[in-house]
Amino acid sequence: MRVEFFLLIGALLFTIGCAGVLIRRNAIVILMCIELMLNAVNLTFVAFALENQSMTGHIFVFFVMTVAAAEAAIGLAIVIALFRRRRTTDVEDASLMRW
Amino acid sequence: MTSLFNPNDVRLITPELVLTISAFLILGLSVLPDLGRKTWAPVLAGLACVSTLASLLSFVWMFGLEALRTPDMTIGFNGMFILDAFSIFFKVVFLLAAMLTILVSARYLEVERAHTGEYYALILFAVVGMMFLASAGDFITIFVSLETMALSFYILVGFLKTNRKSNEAALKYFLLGSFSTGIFLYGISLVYGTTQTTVLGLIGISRAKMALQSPAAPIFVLGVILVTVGLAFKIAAVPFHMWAPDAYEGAPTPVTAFLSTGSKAAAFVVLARIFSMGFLPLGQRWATLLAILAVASMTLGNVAAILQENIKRMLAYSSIAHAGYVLMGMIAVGLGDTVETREYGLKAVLLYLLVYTFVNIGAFALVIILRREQVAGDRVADFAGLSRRAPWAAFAMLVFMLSLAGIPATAGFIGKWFLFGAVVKAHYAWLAVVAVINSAISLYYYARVVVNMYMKAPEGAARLAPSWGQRVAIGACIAFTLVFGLYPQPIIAFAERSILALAPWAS
Amino acid sequence: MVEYVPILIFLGVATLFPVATLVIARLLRPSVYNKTKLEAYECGVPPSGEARARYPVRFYIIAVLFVVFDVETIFLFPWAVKFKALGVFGFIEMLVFLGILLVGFAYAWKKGALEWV
Repeated sequence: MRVEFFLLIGALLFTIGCAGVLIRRNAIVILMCIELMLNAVNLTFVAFALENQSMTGHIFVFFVMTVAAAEAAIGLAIVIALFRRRRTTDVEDASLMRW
Repeated sequence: MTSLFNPNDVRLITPELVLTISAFLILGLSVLPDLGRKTWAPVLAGLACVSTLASLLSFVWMFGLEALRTPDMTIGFNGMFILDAFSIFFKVVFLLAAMLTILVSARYLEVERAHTGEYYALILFAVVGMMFLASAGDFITIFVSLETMALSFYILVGFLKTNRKSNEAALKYFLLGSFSTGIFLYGISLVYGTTQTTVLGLIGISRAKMALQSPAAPIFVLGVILVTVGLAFKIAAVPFHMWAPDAYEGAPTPVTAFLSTGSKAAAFVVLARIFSMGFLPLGQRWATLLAILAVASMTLGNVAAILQENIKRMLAYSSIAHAGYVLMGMIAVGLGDTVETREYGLKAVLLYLLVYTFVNIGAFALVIILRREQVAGDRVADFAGLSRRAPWAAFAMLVFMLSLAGIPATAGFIGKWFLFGAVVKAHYAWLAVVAVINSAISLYYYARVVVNMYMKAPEGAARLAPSWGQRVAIGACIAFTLVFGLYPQPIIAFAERSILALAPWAS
Repeated sequence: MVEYVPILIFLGVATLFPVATLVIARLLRPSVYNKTKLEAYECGVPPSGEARARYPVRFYIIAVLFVVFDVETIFLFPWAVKFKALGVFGFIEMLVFLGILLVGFAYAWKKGALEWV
């Protein structure tokens, strides 16, 4: 297999994640799209590590995964706090402050 | 192959270790049962304050007073951690910012009924992240410490769990913050792919040039652009500023103060470190990119600030504009044709961030003491007639507003002077003209606060009751602003000693 | 380019197979719809409530804790594989790591995050 395929898939996943963050309205779905972006980054790192024959990329992936988990935990906590006050997870409804 | 671990390296991170251990201690103590009606929180606030002081003093323990002036560049943990004058300068700034924030927090949190120990633990964790960020010499360290800081801030912004504005601010800050992390990381992965390393020093010496000449050059340039975008989110530069006004308005005010100074300065450290160590061969290109961001931030920030009725929001837009000013120093680093110009630009960035930290925390401290039971105190109108209700508070706010506007005889003027000088030296005089026009615009909304305080009748006769911690913090900020506004040589010298050694990388 | 021909054939078969299955099934199966058949399948018992019911928030709190403690294995596994090579340094490093996790665990426990309320 050639490395370019992995890079391409990584780029595609990243774009899908990006588009999802910008288009979707549900906070949980946006959170999932951000996770998708981070996983696309992981794939890119591993592909480059394979091509460069270096371990750094693999190690970077460990840290990205850990931080992504911590981020997901905090994101869920914030969404729960918001849900308890508002009974919704739609970001359009989070509009107390504008301009 | 270098050895896995050198026990002497642990000594280099003493200040961070002190903070980490006390943060864990505070976290552990904050679950202790309350003593009757009294809570442990004030004790923990004191502990947090002492630990920042201890961390600050541990630099002296590490180097001794004399060596502190010009410490050599020490690299530890196999290039992951760089301890040089540059990082020490910023660590001092972060610790001072944290100390001031802790001093102004206690009374505010009591009013908000959210005075718990976890708050201080989170502040300390954020500072630990910032301090590691200042010393990061590798993209892995940069990423992990950036996230340590950011994750603590996500929670701090939403710390008032029952306050709807705070919830909403946390959600917006979190979603856009982690989105920018994703972009930043993708940029890093592309840079890693094309230069085959994540060590900043290694990228800068030769590999950036090599990558530029290889067929993969577009990927490398895209990586640099994505890294810039990720960092632009963190410093809240237009057009990546959307989160800032909402997060600043909704967050507890002490957190806003810390976010607008500490977190911004931390993002600028990475920016300076990455661009001047890693990407210096591309100086011309990224300087153009930053120039666009700077012009957009200054203009939009200042114009939007005029329209604000909420003072936290106004200061948020003003802080976006200030990010634009600071970017000018980085532009001089990228464009400068001599090492002197580059170092001048970097010096201006350091100086401005130091000054801005004190002035902005001071301004927010005034907003904090206006918050009392039943009074939100965060509208510009709440400042009406403050000169009659509390002459000292009004005078303090006057000093901070003038300093933010960059009026001579305040520290803010000194900072701006060097930034404007830097772009002129780099033959970007038009940018200095834009910045001067913008400073004139900003005078309008800063003056509005002053007019409210001195020319309008007070709405109520309620007196302010600042705690002693708040008095100390505001006093320190005023003293800093006025003393170094009139006699700036010490801080200029401090900044001069602390700039990155750019010479080896200057082409 | 010749070596890519098998991949091309594989791609073609991989696309055709599911499409063909779906089309043939469509042609062959009788299409009889009634209320019972369209109902959500709940293990043979008559379904109760909406299929898109919300989960209680407690599940999210458990999920939050799980996510955090789950990823520690990322560091434990490579450490275990290279345990001998890392020596005493690796052992102490891991103790520090687990110690930090333990503080978090103790905090969550004490705060009552593990109670099923």
